[in-house]
Amino acid sequence: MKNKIKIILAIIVVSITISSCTSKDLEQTLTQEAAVEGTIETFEDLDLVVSATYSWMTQSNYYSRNAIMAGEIRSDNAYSTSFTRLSEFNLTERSTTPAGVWSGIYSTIGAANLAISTTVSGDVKKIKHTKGAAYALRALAYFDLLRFYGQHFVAGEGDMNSLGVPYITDFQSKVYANSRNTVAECKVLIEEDLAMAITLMSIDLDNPSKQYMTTNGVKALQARIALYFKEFEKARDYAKQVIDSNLFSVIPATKYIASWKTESTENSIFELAYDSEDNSGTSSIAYAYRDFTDADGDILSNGHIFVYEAVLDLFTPGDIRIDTLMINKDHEGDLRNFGKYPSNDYSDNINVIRYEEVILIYAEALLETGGDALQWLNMIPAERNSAPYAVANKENILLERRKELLFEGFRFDDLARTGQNISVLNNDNPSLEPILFGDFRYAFPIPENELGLNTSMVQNKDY
Amino acid sequence: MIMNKQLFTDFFILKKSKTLVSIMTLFLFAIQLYGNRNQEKEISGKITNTNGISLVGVSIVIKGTAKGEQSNFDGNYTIKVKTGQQLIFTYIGMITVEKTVGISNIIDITMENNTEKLNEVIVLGYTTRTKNEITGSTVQVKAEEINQFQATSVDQALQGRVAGLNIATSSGTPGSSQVIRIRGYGSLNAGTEPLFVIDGVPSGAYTGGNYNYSNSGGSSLNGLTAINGDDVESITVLKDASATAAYGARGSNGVIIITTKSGKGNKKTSFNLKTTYGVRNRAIELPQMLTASQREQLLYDAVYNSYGVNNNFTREGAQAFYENRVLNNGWWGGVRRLPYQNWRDAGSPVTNWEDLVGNKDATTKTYNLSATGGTVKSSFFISLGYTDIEGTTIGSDYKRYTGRVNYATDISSKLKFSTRTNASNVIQNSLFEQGFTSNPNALPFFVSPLEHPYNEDGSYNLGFKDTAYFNVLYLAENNISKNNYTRATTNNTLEWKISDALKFKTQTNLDYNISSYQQYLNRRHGSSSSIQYTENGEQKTIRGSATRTIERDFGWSIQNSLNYKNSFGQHTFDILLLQEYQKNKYDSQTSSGQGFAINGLTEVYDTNKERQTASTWHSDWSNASYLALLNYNFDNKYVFDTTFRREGASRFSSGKRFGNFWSIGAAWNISSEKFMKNSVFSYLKVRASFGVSGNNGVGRNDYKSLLSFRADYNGESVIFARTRGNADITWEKSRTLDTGIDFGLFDGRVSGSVAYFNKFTFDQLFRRSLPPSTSFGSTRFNEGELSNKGYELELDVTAIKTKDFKWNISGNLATVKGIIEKLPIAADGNPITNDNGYTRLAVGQKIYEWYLYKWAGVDPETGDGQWFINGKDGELTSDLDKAEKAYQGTTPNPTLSGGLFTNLNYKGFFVNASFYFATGHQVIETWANYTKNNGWATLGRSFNGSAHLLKSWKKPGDITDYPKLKGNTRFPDEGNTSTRFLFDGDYIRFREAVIGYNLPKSVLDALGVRGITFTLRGTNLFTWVKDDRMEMDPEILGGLTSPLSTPPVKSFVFGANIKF
Repeated sequence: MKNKIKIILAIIVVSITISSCTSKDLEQTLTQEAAVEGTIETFEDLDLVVSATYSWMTQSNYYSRNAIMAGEIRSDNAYSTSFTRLSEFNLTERSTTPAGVWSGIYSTIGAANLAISTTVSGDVKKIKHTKGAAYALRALAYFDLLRFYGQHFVAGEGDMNSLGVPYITDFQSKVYANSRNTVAECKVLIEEDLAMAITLMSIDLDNPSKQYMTTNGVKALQARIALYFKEFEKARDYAKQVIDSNLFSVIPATKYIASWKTESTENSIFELAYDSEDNSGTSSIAYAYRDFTDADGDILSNGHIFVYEAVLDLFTPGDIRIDTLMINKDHEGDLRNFGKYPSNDYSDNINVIRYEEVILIYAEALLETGGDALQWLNMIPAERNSAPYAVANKENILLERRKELLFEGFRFDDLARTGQNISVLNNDNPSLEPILFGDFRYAFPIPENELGLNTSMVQNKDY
Repeated sequence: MIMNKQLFTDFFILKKSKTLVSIMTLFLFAIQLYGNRNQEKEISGKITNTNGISLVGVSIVIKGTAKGEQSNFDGNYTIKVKTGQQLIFTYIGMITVEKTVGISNIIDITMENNTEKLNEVIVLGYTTRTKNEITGSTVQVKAEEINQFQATSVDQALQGRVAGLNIATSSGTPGSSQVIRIRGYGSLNAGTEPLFVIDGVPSGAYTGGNYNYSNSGGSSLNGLTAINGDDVESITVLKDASATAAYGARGSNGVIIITTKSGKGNKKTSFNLKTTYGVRNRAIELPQMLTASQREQLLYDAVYNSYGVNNNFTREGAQAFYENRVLNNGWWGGVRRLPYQNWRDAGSPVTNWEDLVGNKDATTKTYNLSATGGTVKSSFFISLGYTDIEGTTIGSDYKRYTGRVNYATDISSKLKFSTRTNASNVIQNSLFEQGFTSNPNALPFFVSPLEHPYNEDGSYNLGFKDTAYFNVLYLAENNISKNNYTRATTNNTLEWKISDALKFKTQTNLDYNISSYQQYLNRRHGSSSSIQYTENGEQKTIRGSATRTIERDFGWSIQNSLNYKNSFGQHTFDILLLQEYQKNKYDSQTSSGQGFAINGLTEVYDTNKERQTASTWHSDWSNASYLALLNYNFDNKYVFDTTFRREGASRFSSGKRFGNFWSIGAAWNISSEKFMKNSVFSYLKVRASFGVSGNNGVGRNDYKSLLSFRADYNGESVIFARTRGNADITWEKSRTLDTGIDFGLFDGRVSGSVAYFNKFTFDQLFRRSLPPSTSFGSTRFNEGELSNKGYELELDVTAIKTKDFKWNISGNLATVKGIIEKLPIAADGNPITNDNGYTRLAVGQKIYEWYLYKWAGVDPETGDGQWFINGKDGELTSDLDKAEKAYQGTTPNPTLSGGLFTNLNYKGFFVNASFYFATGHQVIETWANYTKNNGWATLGRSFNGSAHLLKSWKKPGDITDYPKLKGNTRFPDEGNTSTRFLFDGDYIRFREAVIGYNLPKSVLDALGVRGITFTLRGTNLFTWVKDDRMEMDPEILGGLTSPLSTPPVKSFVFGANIKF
């Protein structure tokens, strides 16, 4: 009997020991995920956080489609039969494109903010370079937000003092209701971020693949932004710095068509990396422009962006940019872009900044500041089997920009920043009235979910 | 009161302790030894109740024989019997009396009210109580009711049985999971599923409910399906805080306690063999869809409506215009083929997809064999079961093997060991019920009627031209989607009787779940083939794919408890101290591959080596708790009950882990008072309880901000912040006030209870959406409050009871009204709102109140849809952009629901019927934006529409609810979610009817068996739906009908049950 009691007592002791515990014993294992705090410790970790910023940029809400598409189908270049509200300037706060672009770009910013705010150990120069890239990417993201949602082109909203977007720089902010900075404030903050990037980054650490932000990428961005805000002297100087680096050249006509399938070409300044595994598939810009049929005439891929026929008339015959491999009629006789983002598996890298744009920025800035723009303007047609311009004026420079940067998402902004109307909205629906400069629709609506959840948010005019 | 000596003696015997009874029995036995045992004599007597009232129709049977009599109108009886034989007096509602015949020729009997119901032991999980001792709302469903209902999981048996418990099956595919709500929605964002407790152990479920497995859009598999319903002794549903507070952090949505059978000691082994066979079909008819020729004419209507005037053609010219435009321009996705012409060229085949995807007269078979018995020291219950059910949709079936050993033994007079061990294996061939193109359930709704399943030579048509759907008939034969689920549980208890009053108990439980999911998609047809590109841009097609997912859930728990139970005079104490630790580990691995070289290979192993991927996952959680229970009663009249539980869970940050939960309850058994002696109430109790229980039904790591690595850039992994955590979150809590009256009338022939509850949930684990500008989707806060209030009524009436004939009716009713009391405050000082596209949360509104555009019918002049501009009344608009959404006053949840049961017994025959109903709610027909769409997506190419589209508006003056068909718009606004597709959800379902026959004793004796019962059972025989626009099944929770899952099943099952 005594033995039995001993056994029983032993059981009791053991089982109570097993089952009693404190708060610490209730810690669970984290094997798939890691807590934000205490995980990002070295330069290598930081590098992967910045990579996430690029990764967000490759989403269809941003450079993989929407940011490019929105610049084209809201212009006289093309229209979409699928994104008809976007194409016809009929967006509401419920529309998916403005909502997608908004959250896509802010996710990018969130990733950049995490990189900027994290202190890591390692090679100080490399850390600074990588953080500098994060500053530059954040600046680009805010500039893109401003292009879409800023009220500066909407009549009566105060131009540069109109509402821009909330400029959030704190990654773990507990403030969930951020109010909008003015366009001018945003512009200053963007410039500061870019200046910080220049301070932090080192030319010798620039990745030659062009698939990461570089010092020249930052300067090209500074030039682009200065031009957009009509600060032509700045634009001229920044563009000049890129040109003077002697690292880039205009792609020649012989390599032009192939360049769209080729990585890291000589005209590329910053491009986003894609491969056949990692792409947006049917949500990519390539798919949106694509049209394939199989032998039966069955459609394998049925893009929704159609090109206005008038676009062809802009070019002189023989221009490589209207080669049948670049723009052609599809099997139904509709005009399509075949040459840019050409691969059937959507694996082409997407160019964010290329040298030709910098040349044209420089030409335009020279024109505006009284320099010799013509030789720079003609550098482009010279490499495109196209006739040179006799005169460098605003119209010709904008025309060349339209031709060279066609389908790449620049057209709407070129029209807007030069105060032009949007004349054609949809071939299929000729009854639509042109959108006159200053119209409220020059800005996207702030999406419903942001408005509903962020009580400091103010909707854009007339939405 | 009639007082004679004999009666007094009998009364005395009954009143006194068992020892006395046995002494008396011995005494009588001794006397009878002297009597002549073989001589038959006539015994007579009078039978009364304790109030002296004569009892009519009392059955008097000589034990061990079929011989018997009944008492007459005056309560008198006579019977011929031999000395030494025993008489058994039975009467419904009274305690059965056994008398051994001695010298006396007169045996008068006073029968006492059957307080068995009151002394019925109610399992509360950690403890058991008699009905007298309970202060809260609990309902116990007994084995007979559970085993009656042939279900793949025992929780289905609860439907309609428990006031305030709503249940809906996610699908008619056998083995699918259930959705259960007790007393409405107790939470907005954390779990709303009740906690399951199996043989005393809280189920190691993910968030409190139950194990459920669902893979790749396939059918769900309910973890409870691993338990054979025939093994279950009782299911108790705990609704109020006095009972659920014992389950602390996980009890706030109610607790469902499942207890399996155990052996009865010192009994000869008895066997029970149960076999059933039946046929199953869909319980509802699918809605009528358009035929190809109807659809063609509607297409031309649409073309004419949109293009006729501008292009100058009449309705007759619509076909020519359409064909011309298709061939010259390509139309609607660029097709230059004429689908209708092709269909006519093929001989206008007509396909009844509804029949083709259905499995008519699917069979169901079960075989269960159990044995129970024991010696003085030990007892056992053993069972083996096999179930085989065919799905009512092609390609689905279910097989289950179960085995159980429940064994208890006394190691010594003080030490008792018991074990309950169950192992089962379930094999479910599942369907792609959550998907579209390969889902046989969805096909009849969506596939274009121009597509036909077979080629002219009878082979499968694998070349659907105009639809995204696949030929599911081929897929059902050639694809595999199989769940193979094994669950083994063992629950071992050692109980040490330290003294008569004090017991120590330790219980360990292991619960091991392995679910293996296999998917194989064939090489020829379906979604498996994908076009890939080689390095140089050439196309190649990858054919066939395979996936294997193995999930392993392992939970263990240990409980130690000390129980003190003693009486001091009229004071009775029952005190329990308990400590519990529970841990759960989950591991899964998935491997998949694409590209099979040849047909006939189905494993990942044989796929293209370059296209194989694998991934694994691990997670775990744990809970630790301390519990104290005190139950005190005074003379069985006044009951006081209190519970305290302290519990810590790993789902919260270190300082926020532990929470305290408690309850108090009191009851007054009025019928035990002297002054109630002669009242009509045979039982009367008032009770009230109040307490706090919790809810931790959130993700395991919701309190942490987490990084994720599942993305890449330029071929390298990246690090990004995936979730925004909130380290401040802790338990969601609810306090429940519960009051009730339990009563029995007319010697228990009428019994029931009325209850009122008020449950207030606060510190809700609210997942608040964050503005996208924060770059996070959402995070959790403890904020928000809601209340659920309601009345519950249960009633049980024995309408007729004679020796041969008994008729019993029972039923229950429950109301519930849920209101959102408080929501998080946003920066502007106003509470936030949350619109999910159908319902919207806002303070002061009902929980999940419909928030929709209000449809105002079709404008008879233009044929366009109209909506109320303000979403309620007044002005109309035909431009949906100008309309606003508004609250529509109803929710998806019934305001009143209940069940009705009736049992009729006549001699050996019995007839049972059960009904279930729900009312006061509305439901949305989802996918009506496709099936009732008036644009060309439905008529032009891919899809199909409801036959109701034939009623579409055609010309000015037409009065109809179906707007003008539009050839220029793919999905016109009329199809958008609005009250147009919001229907009354009220329904009554004739859930079950059973006809059965118990073979009489004479036959049984001849056969040498103890019992044979035959039953014929019909399930879901008839459903009445109030709203005739409602074509989908009404039995849903959440208010969204879906054509994607298998409809409920109507079955007829024949069963035979043999006891020997």
